[in-house]
Amino acid sequence: MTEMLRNARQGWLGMTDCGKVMALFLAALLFLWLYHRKERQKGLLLYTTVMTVCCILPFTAFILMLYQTKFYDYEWIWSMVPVTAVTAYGGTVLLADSWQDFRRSAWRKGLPVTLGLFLIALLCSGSWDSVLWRENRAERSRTAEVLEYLTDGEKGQELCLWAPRKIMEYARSTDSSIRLPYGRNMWDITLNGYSYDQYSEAVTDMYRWMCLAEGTGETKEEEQQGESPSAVACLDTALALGVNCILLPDNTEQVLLNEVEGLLQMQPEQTSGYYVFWTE
Amino acid sequence: MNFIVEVWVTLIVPCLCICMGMGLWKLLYRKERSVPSLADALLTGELLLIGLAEAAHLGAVFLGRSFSDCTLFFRILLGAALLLSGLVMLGSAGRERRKGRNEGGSRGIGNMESAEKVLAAVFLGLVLVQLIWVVVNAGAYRRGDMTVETVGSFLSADGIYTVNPMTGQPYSLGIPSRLKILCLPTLYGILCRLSGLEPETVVYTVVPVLVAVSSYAAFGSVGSCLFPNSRKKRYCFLIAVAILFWTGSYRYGMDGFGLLYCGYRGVSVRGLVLLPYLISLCIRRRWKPAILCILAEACITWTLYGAGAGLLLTAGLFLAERRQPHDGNA
Repeated sequence: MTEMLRNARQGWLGMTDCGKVMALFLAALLFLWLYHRKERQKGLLLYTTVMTVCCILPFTAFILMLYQTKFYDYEWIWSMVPVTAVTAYGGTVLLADSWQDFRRSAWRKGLPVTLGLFLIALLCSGSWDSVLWRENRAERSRTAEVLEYLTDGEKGQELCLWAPRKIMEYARSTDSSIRLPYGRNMWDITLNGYSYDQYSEAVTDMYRWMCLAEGTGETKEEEQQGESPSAVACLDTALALGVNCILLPDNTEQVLLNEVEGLLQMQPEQTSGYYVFWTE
Repeated sequence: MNFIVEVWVTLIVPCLCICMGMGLWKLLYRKERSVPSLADALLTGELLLIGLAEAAHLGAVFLGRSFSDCTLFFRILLGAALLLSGLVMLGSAGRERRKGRNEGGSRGIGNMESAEKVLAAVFLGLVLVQLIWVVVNAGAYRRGDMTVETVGSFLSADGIYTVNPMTGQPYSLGIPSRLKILCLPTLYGILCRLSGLEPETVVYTVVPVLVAVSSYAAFGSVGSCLFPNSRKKRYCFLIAVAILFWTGSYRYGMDGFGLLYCGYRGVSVRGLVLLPYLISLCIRRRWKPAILCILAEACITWTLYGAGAGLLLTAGLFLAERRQPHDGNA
């Protein structure tokens, strides 16, 4: 509840931090109220204005967040405000006026206004970090390659895979017949709202151990503090959960690799940057 | 080969929706002689499609049937809906013929002014670029969403919510019942089963394209209400909407982001299709399809016992519009 109150208070600031579409929307709303007095759609404008105020003020925003259930974040209360429709409405009215109902002869006024509005729209836009997405796409295709190798080698058994996060991230969406000891919701905690199930401490340790094998910074610190999970316990949990294939990255520290080889008493296969241990 | 199937599914679904929507609209407004617009037919048909998927989904969940049975339920319901729509349209056409009514219809492309043609071309160009963007960036944003895994688990386990989509292992405690009743994963799964496409393809490519097209139909419907007498203004409005989608694509939760990166999510369908269409229905005071919109929202997003953004918007616009004179534009 406290977090929701904080979201309601800071949500509006968050909405306006990178792009400025909301500023454009407020300007369009103001324009329609002040300039376009003969407006036929007063009902729509009245509703939009009231809801806008409700979404901006923390107390009413909090009530709206309660109304839309606690499942959704602050930004979704703005669904109730026709932001795009009203902004486009304001823009269209302004353009139609400046072009005198789209007459070619009115270009002296119409063209600068059109270009100006286009420029404003451009300046109000922000950028979403698509670099991350391109990296993800590369990882996804690499995962597909690795999974193809694994499903070819599973010898008719159902594959239950324990692998580094990069593989686990896309495993189930690439091939839904693969089973995992833990899924994407281990690191994307927003997904935990979809189920009552929770991971046991032993399974969480498996994830932490695999992060250690991958060399994640966070787990390195834990290791230095002597809090790293033990390989024996993690392998025991994995085998108890029915894991029949373990993947380790090829940059795994030799000590760790030797420990796993010793515990499983087998030599791994190697493919596309991973060591593969078939436990059955 | 897959691409051809994708295109085929992307074309056939709107066609089926238009057929069903035409019949449903005629059924809802039997006494009126007006023909529903293409946008009305498409969007009403989509509301019906969601309703059919929900019926099949609930049937399978509460009767404990397999996903194959759910697909069969859906096929039967779809067949019945198409048959009923056909009969309603035939009956309506017969009545119109007997009464000798001949609607003028809208002006064709040949009668468009040059300014209208330019605006229409700009709009279509923008939409085309966005559709290509949607296809190229399929599955760009997956945070907080597990639709593909859910659809995949339905198909591989042949059951609805029998295994945890994240792990493929059986649930130990289950999922909230308010999520269990939502039908979008089932609808996508049925599309996969009927077309033979992979869940990733249907969820990340086919559905977002359909949602983008439906979104423009919904905003076109809003434009028709705001500017009933000027096609140029309506095109200008749609161009402004398309540009705003690009402008607002920087943040999760904005309409543009939903359209360009995650059009398959329930909240995106609600924000891009249902709510704009609801606005146009409320302005036109078409309350019957508005109720369908509210129900459709409850079928695809987590609402407060059925009360979602659509209900609040309808109530707000109902109160606000009550004070305004109604000019009868529909």
